[in-house]
Amino acid sequence: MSVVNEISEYLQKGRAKNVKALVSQALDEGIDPKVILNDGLLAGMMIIGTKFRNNEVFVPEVLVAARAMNMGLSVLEPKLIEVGNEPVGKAVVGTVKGDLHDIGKNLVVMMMKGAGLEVYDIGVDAEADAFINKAEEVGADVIGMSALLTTTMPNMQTVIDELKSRGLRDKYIVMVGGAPVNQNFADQIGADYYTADAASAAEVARKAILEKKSA
Amino acid sequence: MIITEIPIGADKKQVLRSMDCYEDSPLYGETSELYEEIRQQVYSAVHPRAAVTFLEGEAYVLMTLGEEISDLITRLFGEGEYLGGMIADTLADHCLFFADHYLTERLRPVCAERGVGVAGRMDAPNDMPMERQKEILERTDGTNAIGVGITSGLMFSPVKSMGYIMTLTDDKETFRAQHDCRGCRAEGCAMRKAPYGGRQGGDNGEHEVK
Repeated sequence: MSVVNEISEYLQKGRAKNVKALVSQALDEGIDPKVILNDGLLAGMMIIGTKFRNNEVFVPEVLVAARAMNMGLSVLEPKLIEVGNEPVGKAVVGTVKGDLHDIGKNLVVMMMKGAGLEVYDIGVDAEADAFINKAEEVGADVIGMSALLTTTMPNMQTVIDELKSRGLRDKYIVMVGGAPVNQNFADQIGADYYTADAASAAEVARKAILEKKSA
Repeated sequence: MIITEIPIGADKKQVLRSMDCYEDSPLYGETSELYEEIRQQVYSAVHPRAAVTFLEGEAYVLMTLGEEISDLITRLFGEGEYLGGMIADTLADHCLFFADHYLTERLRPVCAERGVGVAGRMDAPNDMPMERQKEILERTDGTNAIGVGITSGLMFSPVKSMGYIMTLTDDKETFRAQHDCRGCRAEGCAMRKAPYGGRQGGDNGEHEVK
């Protein structure tokens, strides 16, 4: 098995120290850092994401895999910068105004990073301006919003309305999620995508960004 | 009244099951070991306290584990310690419910002294609108008493806080102050003790107590 495939295998098992060591080994062997990233780390996370959506693995397995990815990236990132690697895209993610729930949002941030996005987590109880100003500042592709209460869901609409009033609606891919949110609601407020879980959110974000960039 | 002597406890197996980590999972050993590390940190970071106010016909209860536990969870996730963060968050939820159970029993003699029983309990949004959370905060003077606030979305802050209203009755023998999973609409709740519409389950787990 090639070292890059081993990276993917150990990542899926959540073996963070092994992943870190194998990434170092792969670099020592002269393997292109982008190949290590795409075919090793990201490939492994994508498999875990698919397995999670298919209920073949559960949250703990996803969490340890993501940690292993982070460990691998800690070695790889300086080399990726050297070779001028760009992330797939950028996402600004937060929980909307009035809502303090953060676990779902944290998992989305984790999975989006695992899908190769550069993610800016603006935290909880976030105003519409916070989402938009950060997106403008970093040149984001995606604005992702989480809400876990029916009393706070309407604030997703507030963000979208503010985007429209600033003439920025078409600039961003808007994604929504959270327990009380569903596709009907997403359609009603004019979001681009609704996803039911963090793994789907990451996959959809990545796909949407790549489609937009190739259009 | 303000209550600060509230024990903290949780059943380890139940906490791990809430995270979909079962004894036959390949990750059970690692997660179980990490749980012991995180448990120490969580127990140091939770500072349970409650404020209770009795008025005509109703008693208002507000409880919090404090802000420090939220900071711990955020820090763990921020450092990439995702499993640790999830364990801390799940364990904190279990601690909150354990404390709730203790508190309601603690209030039993208090109600008896006042010559009242508890006909039922209302939690938002299941039994009453979220707007009544503002009422709970005001009537318990929660901000001054125990440092709890409320967001524009009517959610108590810090996040590991809960509040409810007990409806009082002259029948001192009646004491239905515990949360009843049977009527609760949170079907996906990992801490559900009875299926929706089913019989209330007993708690047969071992709770180690701080």
